[in-house]
Amino acid sequence: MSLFTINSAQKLIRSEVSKFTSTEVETVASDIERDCRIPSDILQKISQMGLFGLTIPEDYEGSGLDVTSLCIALEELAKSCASLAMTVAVNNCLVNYPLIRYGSAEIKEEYLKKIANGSIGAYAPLSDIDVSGKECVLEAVGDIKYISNRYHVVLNGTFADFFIIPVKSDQGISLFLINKGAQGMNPYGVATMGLRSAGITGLEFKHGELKPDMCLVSGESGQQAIQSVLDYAHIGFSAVALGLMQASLEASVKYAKERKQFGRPIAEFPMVQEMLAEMKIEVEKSRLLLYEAANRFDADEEYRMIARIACLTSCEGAVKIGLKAIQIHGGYGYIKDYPVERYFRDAKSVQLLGKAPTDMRLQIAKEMLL
Amino acid sequence: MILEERHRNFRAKVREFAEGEVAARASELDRSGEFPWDLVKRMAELQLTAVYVPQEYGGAGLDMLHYAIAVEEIGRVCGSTGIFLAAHSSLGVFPIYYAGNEEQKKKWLIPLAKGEKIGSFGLTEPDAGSDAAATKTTAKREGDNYVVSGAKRFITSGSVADVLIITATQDPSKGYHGISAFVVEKGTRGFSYGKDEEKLGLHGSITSELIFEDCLIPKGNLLGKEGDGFRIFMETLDGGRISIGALALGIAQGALDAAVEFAKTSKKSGKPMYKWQSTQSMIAEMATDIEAARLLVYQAAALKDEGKPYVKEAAMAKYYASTVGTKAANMAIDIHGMLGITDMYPVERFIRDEKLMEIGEGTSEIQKIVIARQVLGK
Repeated sequence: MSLFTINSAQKLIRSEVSKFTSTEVETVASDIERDCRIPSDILQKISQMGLFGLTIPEDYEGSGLDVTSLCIALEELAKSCASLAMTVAVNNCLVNYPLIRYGSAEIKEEYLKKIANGSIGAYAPLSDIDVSGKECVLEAVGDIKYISNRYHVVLNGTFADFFIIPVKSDQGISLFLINKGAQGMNPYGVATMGLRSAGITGLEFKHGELKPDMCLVSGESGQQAIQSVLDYAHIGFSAVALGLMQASLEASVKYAKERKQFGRPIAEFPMVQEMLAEMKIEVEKSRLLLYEAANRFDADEEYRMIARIACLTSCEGAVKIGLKAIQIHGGYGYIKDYPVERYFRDAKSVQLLGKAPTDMRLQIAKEMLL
Repeated sequence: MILEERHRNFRAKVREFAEGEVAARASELDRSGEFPWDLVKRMAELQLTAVYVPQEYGGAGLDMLHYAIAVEEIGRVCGSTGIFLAAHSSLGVFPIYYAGNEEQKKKWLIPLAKGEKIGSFGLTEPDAGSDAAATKTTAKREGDNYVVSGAKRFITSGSVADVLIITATQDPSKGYHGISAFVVEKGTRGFSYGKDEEKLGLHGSITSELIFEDCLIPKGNLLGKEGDGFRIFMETLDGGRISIGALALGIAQGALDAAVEFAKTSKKSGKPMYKWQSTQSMIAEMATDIEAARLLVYQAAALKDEGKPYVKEAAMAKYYASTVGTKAANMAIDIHGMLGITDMYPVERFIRDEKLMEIGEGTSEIQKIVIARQVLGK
């Protein structure tokens, strides 16, 4: 018997999303990649299916589903188009979650309902790596702060109607909500290795207004809040990576059975079988870890450590499997006629938009050494 | 391995060109996918297009070790320019140098070696990859010509080449004994191109499909004798492995250089990146792997220069350099954190370029088979 039981609502979401991707996404996945853009009708349908507001409570017109359901949806989406899955993951994990957990009653009422009805939010991850030497500048005029800073990677940036921005100051970190088109805010284009259609942009603030009533959390509890948001996002990113792994594996099995060399399908060669076996092991390992983390979250149990392990394992696994899938495809794996090179680039991108593997290991260790 | 002064001086000369003229072009070639005609011309002027070929045939008259160093140094700054050089020198030039008669050498080897013409090698077919002897392209003798029909795929520099060496079978029932090698010139009637591939990396290198429809090739274009094709392409690939090993090494070194530069110029949580032990650990691992790969590549080149057996060592060099190279290129991205996947830094290009080194001119799996055969003596 499986460790996890899937309830009927969760089964339903898998079949619905899988039906949607096979009829509407798979056929255009290579166009989406070429144009670096998800067509707006697909985003609209995603919204109509309630996927952007999947984790928003029904009180706010959301779908009110649990994290296990979110993982199932993300996994299915990522099998066809990881950029699309990432957009849904970012909205649920990095936008909905902080709004639900830290937003004021007014903010929740306004923004959660907006998302449930088709709006998309963006999140700007705060990097602990400093390359410019320029610090974030904050000026206060009365109780309004003005920010001058550059965020090199903003997730969902091109789609977003509003942004959640972490702001670092001497008092700690705050999370602010800023509407699209606010004064002093200038988005700029960023090209990425993978997830090229996920709407990733850069964002520069020159004297951008931070309204006090748009602050989700600040001061000493800010740091902790950001960590909570990221821990939660580990589950979502892990699900995207798992979908990518599954796609790489399925493509490789299919190719190995079809491709003939030396008078037989390459699937008959032990070196190919070994690669396929290693890939399968990575997939199953990651799946167990991910759904364990999701289940613990849904059961309101301590989940953070297992979520970090799940994220590290599935992201590293997705990169490794992506490279192996290219290897099995040989020359065909290296060209864009086959999707496996995209799976690899997407996997590497999901991994680093989450957390670099070394940093994740250090975090896992620190937790034990506390 | 301690290099002699002549090799060290040569490296310095190539590095000056690579850093001065090639490096600045790498990102742009990756973005545009254009072929670097101007760099090819410069490499010809600097006598880099046939480093190991004797001067009487238009080469630089140096050895394989010089050649490996040249490919390494160019690949370190630009994988696309590096793969052009490796394919031209090892696959375009070599078969004629190795198997051509004097007349053929005068006609094709000299302009290829001088870099006046671009060379390419058409071996791989849609259904003949690792199983290169399964060639379906046919050649029929008709009077003073061979009539060639078939298709080739994944041919580096195929549609930009002036002179191509292709393999075709005269009798599929004879297996690899039926294969012959021919020289085909650009513009020959019945010889056309399919599409150029869009690839994961090496965007500035052209990868083509070649189509032969009753293409008439004069009998004087046969390399060696009829049925020599297998021997010629095996010998070509044995040497080619040294150049792909060298290129894998160079790309990996380029990734390490990028990681070192980033570690020295950025801060993490307020502390210089290079001072973090985890950064040092990764840098040390990459540097050690790359140095070991370098020794294997140079050893294979030196053995070939000494006329000693080098098949096992060349396969080991390619297999090892490409394996650790991909690993190092992956780590180099990790050191950059999330900025590593953006166009703010050139570092993600290295792994996309490097991955082909595990596939082209014999996959890692084929290299392992070659190595095992040599080690087991069976």
